[in-house]
Amino acid sequence: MRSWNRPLGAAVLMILTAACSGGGQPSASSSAAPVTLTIQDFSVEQTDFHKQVVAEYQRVYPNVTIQWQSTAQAQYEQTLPLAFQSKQAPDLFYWQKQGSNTMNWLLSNSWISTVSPDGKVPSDWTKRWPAGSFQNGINMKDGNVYGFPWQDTHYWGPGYMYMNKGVFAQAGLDPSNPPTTWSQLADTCANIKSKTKAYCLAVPLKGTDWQRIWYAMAAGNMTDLFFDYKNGKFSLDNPAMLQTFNYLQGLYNKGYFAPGVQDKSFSRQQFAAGQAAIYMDGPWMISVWDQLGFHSDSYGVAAHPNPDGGAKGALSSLNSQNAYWVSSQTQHAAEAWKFIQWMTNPTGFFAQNFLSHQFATLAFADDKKLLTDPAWQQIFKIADKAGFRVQYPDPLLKCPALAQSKAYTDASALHPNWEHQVMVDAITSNKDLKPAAQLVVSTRQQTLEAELQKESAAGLKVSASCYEFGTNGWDYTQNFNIANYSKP
Amino acid sequence: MAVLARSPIAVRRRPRLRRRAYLNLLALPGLLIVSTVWAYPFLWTISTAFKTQLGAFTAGAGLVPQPLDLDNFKRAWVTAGISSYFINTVVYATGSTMIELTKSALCGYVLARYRFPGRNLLYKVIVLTLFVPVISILIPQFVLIQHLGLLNTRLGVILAQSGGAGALYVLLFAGFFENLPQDLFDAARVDGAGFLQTFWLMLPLARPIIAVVVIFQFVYNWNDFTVPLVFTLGQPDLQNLAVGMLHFQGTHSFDLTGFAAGMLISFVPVLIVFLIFQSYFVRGLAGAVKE
Amino acid sequence: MAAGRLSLSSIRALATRGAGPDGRRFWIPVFLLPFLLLYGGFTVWPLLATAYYSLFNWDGISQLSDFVGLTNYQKILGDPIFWLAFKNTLVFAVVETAIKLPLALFVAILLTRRWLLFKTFFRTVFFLPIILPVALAGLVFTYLLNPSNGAIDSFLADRGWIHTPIDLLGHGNTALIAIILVAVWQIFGQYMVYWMAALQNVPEDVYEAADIDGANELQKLIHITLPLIRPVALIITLLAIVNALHVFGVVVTLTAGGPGQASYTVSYFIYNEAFSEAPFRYGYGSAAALLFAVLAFMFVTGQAAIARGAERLRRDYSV
Repeated sequence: MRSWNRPLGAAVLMILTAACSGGGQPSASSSAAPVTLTIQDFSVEQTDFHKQVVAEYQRVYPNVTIQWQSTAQAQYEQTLPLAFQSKQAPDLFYWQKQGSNTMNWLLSNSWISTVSPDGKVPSDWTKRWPAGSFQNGINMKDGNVYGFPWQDTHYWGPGYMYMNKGVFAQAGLDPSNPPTTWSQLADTCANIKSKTKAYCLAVPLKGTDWQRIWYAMAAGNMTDLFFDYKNGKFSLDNPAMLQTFNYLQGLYNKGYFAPGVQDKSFSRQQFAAGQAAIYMDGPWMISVWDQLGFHSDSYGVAAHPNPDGGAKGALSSLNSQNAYWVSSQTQHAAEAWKFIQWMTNPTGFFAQNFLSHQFATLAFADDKKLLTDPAWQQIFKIADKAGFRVQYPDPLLKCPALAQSKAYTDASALHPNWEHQVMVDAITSNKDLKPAAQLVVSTRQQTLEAELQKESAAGLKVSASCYEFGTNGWDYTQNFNIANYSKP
Repeated sequence: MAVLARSPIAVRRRPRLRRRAYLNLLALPGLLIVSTVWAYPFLWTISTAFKTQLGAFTAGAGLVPQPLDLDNFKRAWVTAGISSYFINTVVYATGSTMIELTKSALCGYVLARYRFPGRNLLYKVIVLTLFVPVISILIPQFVLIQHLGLLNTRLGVILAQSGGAGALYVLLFAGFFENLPQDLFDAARVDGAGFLQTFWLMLPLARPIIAVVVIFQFVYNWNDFTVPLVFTLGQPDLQNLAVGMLHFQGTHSFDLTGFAAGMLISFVPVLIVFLIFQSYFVRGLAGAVKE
Repeated sequence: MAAGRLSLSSIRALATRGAGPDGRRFWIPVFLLPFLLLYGGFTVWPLLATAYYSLFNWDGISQLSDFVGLTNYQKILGDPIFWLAFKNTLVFAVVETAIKLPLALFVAILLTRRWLLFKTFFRTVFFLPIILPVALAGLVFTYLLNPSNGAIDSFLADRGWIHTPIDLLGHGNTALIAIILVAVWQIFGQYMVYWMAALQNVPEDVYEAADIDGANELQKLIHITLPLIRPVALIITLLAIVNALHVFGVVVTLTAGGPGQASYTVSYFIYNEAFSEAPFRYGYGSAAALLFAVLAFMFVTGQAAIARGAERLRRDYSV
């Protein structure tokens, strides 16, 4: 017993010393030459690119060292609030969770400061973006600029249909002549099922991955959102939405879906491995499939099929692209602003290399010139057609007081992902969606209206009409421009 | 104690050998089949580390990588930061295991064999707190470490990792010590042993439970990423391997083959700990009183 | 004591003066202190804080200002999805424990027999699944169980045992079964080790005496092993049930609570409700966690009471 006491004690001592030595000073923030900027996000797949950016920036500005830290999204969203709480926030961070209301939420938590130290920006900086990119309530407040659009929202979004050339060829079909209506899609699937061993549609059904096909198909019939901005109601029980669901359920019952409840990774690999003919998702697939060794010469891209009578709706483009923010706890506001300007240079190192990796589209760069993959060119052609994706109205711009309102977030945060759950449940057990959809909609709608009433009774200038744009003359297939907003 | 009638050794050995062979012949085939099925998912994971992502997908049940891809290991080494995080992982796992072991053995011993005011209450509270899911207690723990000034320190991480699951180890130790025959304690008292000495004598008897605590605390810690991530926000180089493994989860896809490769590289120490401590599960209390 | 001469034993004598014959009144608090400190700080205090948070509408980030009292609890009690998750969790816990415990005991007994060869190899095989991070295990099984080209289905189909692939994860009623099986696979090694430790409590002499008396393996099991490990067995059972009630990792990675909500468990309910969309509903999640803890405790003690009552009846009627 006693013989191993001593080495044990030594080991304990060693470990405790190692343990106590771990606490170092966080990077010094002297106002003299060397500066360290910390940037945090969850773009883990861009880590190698970040290293290149850091090296290049240090070459240009030798006194600045950038620490670009990325971690998995779930953990990122959990730890960033803790970092702010313990005064360890980074200098720049990525946050988009509240959609177009992100800036207001970040301000209410005192997480951000203006992009430039004084809040004003030169016009040749804002000129990098299309007109109307900077709006009060979205990324500006009281004339000060807090955010800047990161990726564009016209090309970047769901709604594209990818077709595996190999499988199509086996069925005697041509991807350059894709199905454009619902019945044509059903026919294509019948063809593929009878003539090939592959499945027609690779549809992920796990969790919220069902949205990949849902957004694409529902958009053509009314809207891809779970909220109907024309009538100001939650949308799942609307006859048009139910019609879309019934159509998809029909395809499922005919055996056109690849079997199983898979996640999106699985379905994507199924498509790439030639086990499925069609997969619907957004343009990020181009780089995802590239990493799998599956390149754009093996697949074609087309717009999602529309209902037989023509498109009655369009995909939504929202004001949600402001992503990187300067934190309120930064000690290097001027350096952060300098980096932002360097980063958003349309012809600079960042934009060119970011786009050459095809990670995403950038709102401030010439995507069409720099995203050279043929699949991207097809994406641009598809999205440029009128009526594919339209700018949706934003209640925040109609009633700015909504920045303080919690009604909508409470209504939609009740049972998160409820819509997806009831739809997947209905499709896998071959049930009618209507009763469950009505329950979801009525529960959410009641919460929304009750809280709006409470808030307006307390003096906030909000009402249910803030969410209703039919009266402003909007229909699902139109672009809603800034000029259309009127004061309540 | 019953005096066992001992027959001459030679006569006893032959039937015993035959009995051993017979029992093994009975049990081994079944065990082998079950083991193969049991190990299959693990083997599949290992083979995935050698496959390309699409290769892993199309291979289905197959264990043979086609094509063979060793790139995963290079990628895993860099992505998971194995070289930077390995030492941290060992320090955290070892440190928290030792703290866990010490505090549960001490408390379990006292809880089992001595009556003191508040004993029953403590027992009840321990059992009660087992029932609460751990998800919601991260923020209060964070606040505590923050107030102790131990954020971004290795000690803070080790403390946070040792504070969590101790309750169940206490129960195991308590149950075990309670089960020890009273004769042992009486014998020790007769020999003039004090409180501490009695404890020193009894502790080695709890080797099986010690082995259990070491094995599981080590494994749990090795794979824990929440605590090392949350408590080292200001100094990421204090993170451990499990946090590094989070880097396989990209915005749009999950690097399964890289993850498998990373796991393959990093699980060896856990296996070693298990192999060492599982040998404690052969010796019983045979003849403890006679000692 | 000679003045100016301090030795370890004299310090100890000083400290334990008046502490009872073996110094217990000094040592007991000393022994309890490390545990109480860490447990108090990292388990009890967070629990009290959680109970406090559950009385608020809180997103975990801003100030704690929106006091709602017991509203969170009311909402949860009236939420059919919570009760669905609760039911699923109970079913899971009972079935999974009923499978893993006896099986693990059997394997543990087998792997501690002195006559068995290659013990270390078999023990390692059963232990390996625990090393896999739960996220990876769930992902691996998604691949293995998928009906398109998954290992299990293609194995069964190749041998002609099934004609249409079994889609365990694709249907509500079988998804829970799949989770149970995967969870058992993953955690089996832990209970095998627990049982092996418990079995060490049985002195070898007793087995030898039974051998002399001509007892066979089954008799030894029923009359020697089980009664002797009973106290530790109860603890292991308690731990098994509690761990099963908290199942989370497998649910997230294998089914995400689906399809739909068919395999929703309470931990997943809390995770989804509280953390999957902004704003986080930390108060709501805390309330759900505490409510579940109380309900689970009532369930388990209820079961224990029933078991004890049955035991008493059995003894009374000498059945």
